[in-house]
Formats: sequence, C-alpha cells, structure tokens
Amino acid sequence: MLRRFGIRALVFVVSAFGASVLIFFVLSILPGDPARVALGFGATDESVAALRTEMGLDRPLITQYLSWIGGVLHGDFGRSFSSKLPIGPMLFDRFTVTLWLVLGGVVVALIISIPLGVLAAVRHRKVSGILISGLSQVGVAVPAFLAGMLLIALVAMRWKWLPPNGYVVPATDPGGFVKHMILPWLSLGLVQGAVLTRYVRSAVLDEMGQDYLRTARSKGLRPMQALLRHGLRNASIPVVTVLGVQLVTLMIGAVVIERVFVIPGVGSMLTDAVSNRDLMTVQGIVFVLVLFALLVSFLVDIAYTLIDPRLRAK
Amino acid sequence: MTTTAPQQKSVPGPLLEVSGLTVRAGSSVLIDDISLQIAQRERVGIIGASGSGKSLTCMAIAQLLPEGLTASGSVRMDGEDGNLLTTPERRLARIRGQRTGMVFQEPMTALNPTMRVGRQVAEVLRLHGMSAGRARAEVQDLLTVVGLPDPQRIAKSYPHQLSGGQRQRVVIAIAMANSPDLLICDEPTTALDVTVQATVLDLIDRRAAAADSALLFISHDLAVVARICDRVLVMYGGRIVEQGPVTEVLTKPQHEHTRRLLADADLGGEQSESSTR
Repeated sequence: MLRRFGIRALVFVVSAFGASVLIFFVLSILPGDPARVALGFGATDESVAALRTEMGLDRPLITQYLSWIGGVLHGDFGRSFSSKLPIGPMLFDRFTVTLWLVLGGVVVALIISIPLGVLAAVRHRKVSGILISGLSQVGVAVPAFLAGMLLIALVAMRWKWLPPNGYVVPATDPGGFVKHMILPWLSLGLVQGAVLTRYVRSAVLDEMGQDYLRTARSKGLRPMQALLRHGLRNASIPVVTVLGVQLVTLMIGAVVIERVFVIPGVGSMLTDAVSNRDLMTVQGIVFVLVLFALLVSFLVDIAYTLIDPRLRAK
Repeated sequence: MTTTAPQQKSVPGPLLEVSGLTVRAGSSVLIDDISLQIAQRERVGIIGASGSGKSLTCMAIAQLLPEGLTASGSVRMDGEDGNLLTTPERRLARIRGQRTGMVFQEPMTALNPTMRVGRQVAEVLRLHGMSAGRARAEVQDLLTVVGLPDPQRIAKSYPHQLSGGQRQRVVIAIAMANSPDLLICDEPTTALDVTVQATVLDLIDRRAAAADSALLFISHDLAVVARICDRVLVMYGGRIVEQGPVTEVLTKPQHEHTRRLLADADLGGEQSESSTR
C-alpha cells in the first residue's frame, strides 16, 4: 500500500513539473510583449527595453523559468506585470475564497445526491423513484449561473432572506460569511447534486443485483439495512471517481458563480489578469489550478485504496 | 444416511410445508404449483437440469427472489404463524439467519468484498442478539469448525484473499452460525474445484448433522444428492415430475426425464463429472 502511495506521489511531482514547464513555455510563446503592453503604445523603445530588463524578460527563457519555478517552490509567484504587486499573497487569498465556495458546493451536492440517489435506485420501479430521476435529469440541464440568478431573484430580492452578493472573510465574521455563501453554495451544489444523483442511483442499482446483498439478507438484514451496511461502500467506488472530476470542473465553473455573486475568488483574478495581459499572474493562477487538479486525483486514488481492499497490496 | 439421533422431540409436524407454490415473471409461469414437505432433520434434494426451476424454488421458499418475480401459494414453517409469502419483511428478517441458513452457488461473489470476513460472520450472530464480545469469540470457533486454518488470520482477511473453497467455508460458517432448523443449499459445490467439492460437501453433511438441521439441497449432480439426501424431488420445466426416497428414484426412475438425467450423469463411477452442464 505504501508503495502504491509512493508511486502516486511520484506521479504527482512529475506531472506538476511537466505542467509548470508547459504552462511557462506556452505562455512565453504567445505574441505580445508584456513590457510594451504595460507601458502603452506611446512608449519609446528605450523605456520598453529598460522595463524588460527590470522585469527580467531579457534573460534566456531557461533562466526565467528556473527563477520563476524556484520562487514558486517558496510560495513566491513573482510580481504582477500590471500592478507590480507580489502575486503570491493575493493568489493565496483568492484561492482560499474559491476553495470555500467549491467545497461548500460539493457538500451541498453530497447531502442532496446520496439520499436521493439511493432512494431513486431503491424505488426505481415506483413513481417516486422515477420522479427523482426525472427531476435530476432536469437539474443536469440547468446551468449553475441560472440557478444562481433565480436564487438571487427569489431568496435575496423578493423574500430578502439572504444578501444577494458580496463576501465576508470567515475569520472576521463567521455568521456573515455563511449568510453570504449559502446562495452560491446552493447554486453550485444543486446543479452538481443533480448530476451526482444520477451517478449514485446507477452505482446503487448496480450493487442491488449483487450476490453479497442476497447473502446479507439471508443473514436477517432487511433490504434497506443490507443496502446501507453492505451496498453503499461498494457503490461509493464509482461515485468517488465522478466526485473527483466534479471537484475540478467546479473549480473552473466557480468563475461564473463568482461573477454572479460578486465573490473575490480566483476566477475574477484570472479573467482580470487575462484581459490585462498580465502573463505572470495568469501563469501563477493556471499552475495553482493544475496543482489542485493533480492533488484531487491523488486524493481520489487514496480514497479508492481506503474503500476497496482489493486495491491494497497483499 | 439418516443420522439416527435419539428422537426426543414429541412427533412434530413438518418443519416446512410448501403448497401450490407458483412463481411468475410478469405473465409467464416459471414455477408451476409446487408442493413439498420437509420434516425436522430431513434431507431433501432437488435435482433437475439448468432452467428446471430448482434454484428459483429455493429462492422463493427463502423469500429472496430476484426483483420482478412474484411468488404465490403458501410456505409455512413450524413455529411461525401464517404464510411466509405474505409475512412482512421485518418478521422474515428475524427468521432468516436464525431459523434458516443459506449457502449459495457462487462463493466468489457471495461475500461483501469490502468487509473483513470476521465481521461478516459476526454480523449474523449480532443480528440475532449476541453481544459483540461473545460474537468475536464465537467467530473464531465457527471458523475453526468449518475447517479454516489459522482462523484469526482468516477473520482479519478480506474475501479476495481467500480461495473459492475457503470462501464457501466462510459462507457455511455464516449459514450455520445460529444452528438453523433448515439449511438451504443452492448448488453449493458446483463452482468449486473438483478436489475441494468433496471436502465442502462433507462439511455441510457434518455441520447439518451436528446442528440437527433439516436440509434442502439443490444440485444437478446426482452423485452429490445421492450422498447427502434422504429424499429427492426431480424438477423439470418448473414442475416436480417425480419424488421419493433417493435410492428408489435413482435406481428405479419412473419419469422419462429422470431417466435421462441418470443416463447423463452415469452414477457408475464415484467421479461423475458434471456432464449435465
């Protein structure tokens, strides 16, 4: 088992390195000189050259890459081309916000999808089961931003139960933080929950025909007991796979939700950086997002091993 | 081969009485009006080719039919009120594992792959009222009795770490844990290596005798049924076509289908390979 983790950790490091190389060189090939963009079109060649030296853009690419990745390893993502401020602290803040958003959304999705998915599977021949499947099908088709806008219109504007947008740092005002996050969490979670419900349903349905559940019932477990005690863990194996993919998709999808709810997450930082041609910042953000995706797949793999003893070495 | 234990119980009625059992899938009839009785400690075999309905019969008796199949008729058990086919699941659950035990054909899939063997055995004890501490000790005994080496290690293993024969022994340990009145075996040795078949069969024989359990034993292997059972029912096309004491049915078959089964099996040699497959 340790060996398996070791291999996975190695894969993680190698992929992260590969991704950093790819991101750096692809972005450096892009046309457009950041120094010229920063100074505007009226700038003289001398001043542009001076800025290039100051930004370190006149050095060979390899040197630039090494100094960038060397900094990143210490949490230093360099300075923004446009604002001249260090990228690291801001990126860290923004990423934390998005992480809260995404994790909350996943929690909502799980709370919805596990009971509903199990119910839909158990009652798959009854009206209630078919109804859940149908509703989740509709939910899948609803984009998260639309759900968000509907929630704002109803819950925030009409009923005035919750603030329509904004963000409060959890450390300073936990209550306010939760109040502001409920609607964004719901918008992400309802839609992802609908997707996940379908996967939970089919995973549970697959397990329901299995022999070991019949054995469990022959021991004196009622059908639902047998399913919960024996079936759920086995059914969770395919669901974990989907959950991993969803986490990454949510991270990207959060960009839109952040716009809708005016949340200062990594999404708005990325779109701002792109429109400012702030390549240094773009590079940092994209790299952190890739690291997140790699980390998720690493964790998913560990989860498999914990759930399914057959994957552990003898 | 009746185990002649001293008959102490006052002549009771049959342990299990099945009458007019019919199983349908939608409109098509799979089991057609079957009636049978099993006395206390009696060993009844059901033989028949694949698709003759023998497995379905025992699933219907245990109320564990696959989804979409419905059973009608009546199944009564000594000491239980009313027709088991209409008994609520909650009460059936108390009977299963306590008064009936089941051994299935496919040991590779009959155990939960993600739960340690010891816990799976302990569960059947705990479900019917044993304390956790006693169950833990009892699991060791049960695993020893079914002939598993190093029961402590086996209890901590997962099913995939055991061989097919070992898994079937675990299933037998579960089925016999509470010394049930009726042990239902659905082709318990069919999926096993020929070399293991005899020892597992032996185990079922001994355990059922030790616990005074009646046996409903399903097989397509006549030699196996001849060894284990007192009485045999022959099924064909969802009906019972012949029944009687094992020696009689196997030596003087009346029904044409029984004769064909016998001819296929060739009981002459003890090593009758499963040629009916």
